[in-house]
Amino acid sequence: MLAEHQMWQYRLRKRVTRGLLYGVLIAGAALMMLPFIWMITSSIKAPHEMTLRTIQWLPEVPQWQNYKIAWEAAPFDIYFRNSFLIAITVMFIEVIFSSLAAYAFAKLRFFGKNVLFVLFLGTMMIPGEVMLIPNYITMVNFGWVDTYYALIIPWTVSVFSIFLLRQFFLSIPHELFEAAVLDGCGKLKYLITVMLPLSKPALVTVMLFKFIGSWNSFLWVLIMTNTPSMRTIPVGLTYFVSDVGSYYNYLMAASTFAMAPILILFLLLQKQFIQGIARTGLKG
Amino acid sequence: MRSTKLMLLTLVFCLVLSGTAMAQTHITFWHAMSGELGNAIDHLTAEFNAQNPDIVVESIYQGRYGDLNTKLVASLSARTTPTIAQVYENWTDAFFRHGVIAPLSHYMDLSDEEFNNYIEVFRGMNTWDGELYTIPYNKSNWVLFYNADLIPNPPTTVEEFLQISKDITAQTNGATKGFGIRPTLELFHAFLYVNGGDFLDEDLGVTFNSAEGVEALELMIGMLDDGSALLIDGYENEAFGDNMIAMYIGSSAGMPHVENSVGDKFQFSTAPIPAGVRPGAPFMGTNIALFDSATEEEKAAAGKFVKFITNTDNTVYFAIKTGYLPVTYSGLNSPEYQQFLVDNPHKAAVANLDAFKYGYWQPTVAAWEEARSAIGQAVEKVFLGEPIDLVLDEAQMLVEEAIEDMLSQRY
Repeated sequence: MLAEHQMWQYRLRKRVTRGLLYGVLIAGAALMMLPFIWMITSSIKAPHEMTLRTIQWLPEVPQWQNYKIAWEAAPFDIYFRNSFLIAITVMFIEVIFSSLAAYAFAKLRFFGKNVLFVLFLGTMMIPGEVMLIPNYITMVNFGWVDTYYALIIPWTVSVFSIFLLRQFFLSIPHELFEAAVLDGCGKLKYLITVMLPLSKPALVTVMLFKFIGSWNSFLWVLIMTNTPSMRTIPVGLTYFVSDVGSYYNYLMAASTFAMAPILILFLLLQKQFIQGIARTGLKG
Repeated sequence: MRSTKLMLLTLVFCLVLSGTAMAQTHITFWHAMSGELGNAIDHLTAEFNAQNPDIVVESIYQGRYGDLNTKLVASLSARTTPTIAQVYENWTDAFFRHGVIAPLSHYMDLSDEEFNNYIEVFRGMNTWDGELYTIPYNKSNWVLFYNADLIPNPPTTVEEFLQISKDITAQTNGATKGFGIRPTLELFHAFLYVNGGDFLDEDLGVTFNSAEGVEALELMIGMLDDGSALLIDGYENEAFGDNMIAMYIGSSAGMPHVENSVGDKFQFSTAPIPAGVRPGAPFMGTNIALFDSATEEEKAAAGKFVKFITNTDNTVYFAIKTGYLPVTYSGLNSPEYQQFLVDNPHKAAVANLDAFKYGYWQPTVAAWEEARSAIGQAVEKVFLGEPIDLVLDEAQMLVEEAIEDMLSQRY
């Protein structure tokens, strides 16, 4: 009798704590979702509904044609193609370079390794804007302005990714390496057959960051290109903003379709992504 | 077999011929016009290219003004400048000081009549060294936007303006304030100028730190204190369309956005900025500059193109499409544009002929880029409650420093 009562009490307590936990999580999630919901509902509002000072969540009459107008305001079909092409290429090349460099910094022994690594990290301290004009001059001298080379190659090396992967590689026990070498495994083979499969979460994280970074890149693309056929989505988004006013409803419609691919990518990879952040964060 | 050979031969022959006949001059035009403006300029460019088979003009959108400026600066250091570009006056001054632009009017083959046809205020804004260096293109002015349902007769003087602001606030029990104040350099300039003051004198001496400047700021602060004005962040047209304010002073270039925010909630119109000790109409917008790195052929082609897009028909076309002003008297007075103003009475104040007589503009020196942000910050500080005299003293110091830097070529 007593046991049953205790059991019941225990279950109740568990339910209450779980309920509270879920309550907090749902509230947090709702708060995070709010801007997205606002973006989506705003994308189908009429212009005068965008500028109300009071909050109006839903449009009186949904203006679905906003999407059509936004899509036609700039050559978004070309921009999408370019954004995909550049983001995917950069993402794959970069992950190859980063894992090779990170492997060297984490597992190999060579002269000046630590100094070189600190120098690498030091470049992260320089803001990109400072290097914009020198980089532009370099691109002009290479004859790369207005080509995919300028949009892809400078971005295929990322110190941040190398750093992130190195830290992850360091967390993989060195004994594995020794055992593999004893069994006659070469260094590159070890990287490909042992390290990389073990580092999937970190690799996915690095790739996603790169994809998002490339997808959102604006000033670099604008400066390095001159023809619409070489430009990407963020350039298209500026069409709706001006110094004297902005077409928020079209901007929100365009933002919705501009971020859809990232959202889909995230949903597909979210398990690895979250795991990746959690694990790389654990062992810094 | 034989016929294919013959065809190939003809094809090669044609290609060789066309290669020699098509000695085309290629020029580039960098601009910051998107949306309706971008469509209008693309249309004019295509028309010009069709009429001039020996010239190919490529109009390229380079982002917003800030982006365009960054891109121009980058292209100057890499020697990849376009042939012509849209520029603000203070950019022109910097380019002029560095000797990287050429006087565009030299390449336009302008008769005296054509030269004088460009509106005088605009010529003033585009003159360096006594020459029409750049050509006005998308010009706008600042006017008083007012809710015509609440205000049947717009104020013409500052006194009337203050009274109407108070009356509207009282009538609506404060639900709609008379006037919207966004603490910007432009609004300060508007009140400063009609009060007899200005930012700089002809010798680049600071004149805004004066009785006129203090009074202008006190007038705005006073309207907030007595409740007849509302302090606004963000675009004024939004508060205006939402009936929070009955009047505001803003750029005519924002007209499409005002029309959007107001919708059919009420009737609105525009009027000249109310006069104080003197009337005044501030003019703004950009111009077209020619870069000196272009070849003589390219310069001549650019001159021809700019002459084309500012001829009477085309300046009117652009003005009607975009809401900017025609840049010539013949455009302004053309039956088509006058009819447009009759059909759109809320735009009439924008092209008010008197306004051109009282036109003024912000300083056009390179140091203005830095100076304007110092003054802009000063205005914001005043509205955050800092003492006006101290704030203006500090701004004067910063502006004088910027000008000194520019004059000593350390710019």
